[in-house]
Amino acid sequence: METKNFKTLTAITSVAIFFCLLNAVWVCVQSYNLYTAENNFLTFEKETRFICSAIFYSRVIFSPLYNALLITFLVKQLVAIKRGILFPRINVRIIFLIAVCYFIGSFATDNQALLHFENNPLMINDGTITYTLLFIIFGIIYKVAVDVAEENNLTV
Amino acid sequence: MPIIVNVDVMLAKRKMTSGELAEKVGITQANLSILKTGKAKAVRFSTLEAICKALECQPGDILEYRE
Repeated sequence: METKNFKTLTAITSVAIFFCLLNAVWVCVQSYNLYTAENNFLTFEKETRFICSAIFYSRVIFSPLYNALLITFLVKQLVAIKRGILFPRINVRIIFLIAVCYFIGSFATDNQALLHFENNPLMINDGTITYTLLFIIFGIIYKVAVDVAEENNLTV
Repeated sequence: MPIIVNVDVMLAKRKMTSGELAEKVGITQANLSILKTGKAKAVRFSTLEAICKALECQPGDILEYRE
């Protein structure tokens, strides 16, 4: 890869990593404040409390995990490019994990209102489904790219 | 891989080392090793041409199909 392109990629990746970290920290802080607030979801009725707890812990676990996986993907990509490998195979699995974590984290975020207002209905955003599917499609195409790149490396 | 590249025989006939061949063909010794050990997935015509030119042989002299 050309030095200029690599430098541009590194710069944009650094900005992306920064925002991923920011988002992960924000989710953790927001979740802590919600957990320690008076009259939080833990005071709701038993049935609702179970669903609210599931949503709360899903968001606490999967949203930062999604950001961590994104950062891992970006770092592994940069390191691999520096070593001359355009598409590292390990990133295929990471992309599919990102898709799963994004779906769960995003679904939990979409239903955050339930943690504040007991009678809110469960909802799913079309963006949650669309972007999850896009991640899966990207993962499949990335896998093809990995296979083609590996074959190209074995072309003399 | 059913296609085998028999470079060693021609190297011995021409009294040439792998390193010399790699240099003449313009590929790395690692790539030549990939070719010799049957790990190569494909060979470019330009590479095949360069090998035949360096070893003064025909493609059929170094390529063999074995089921």
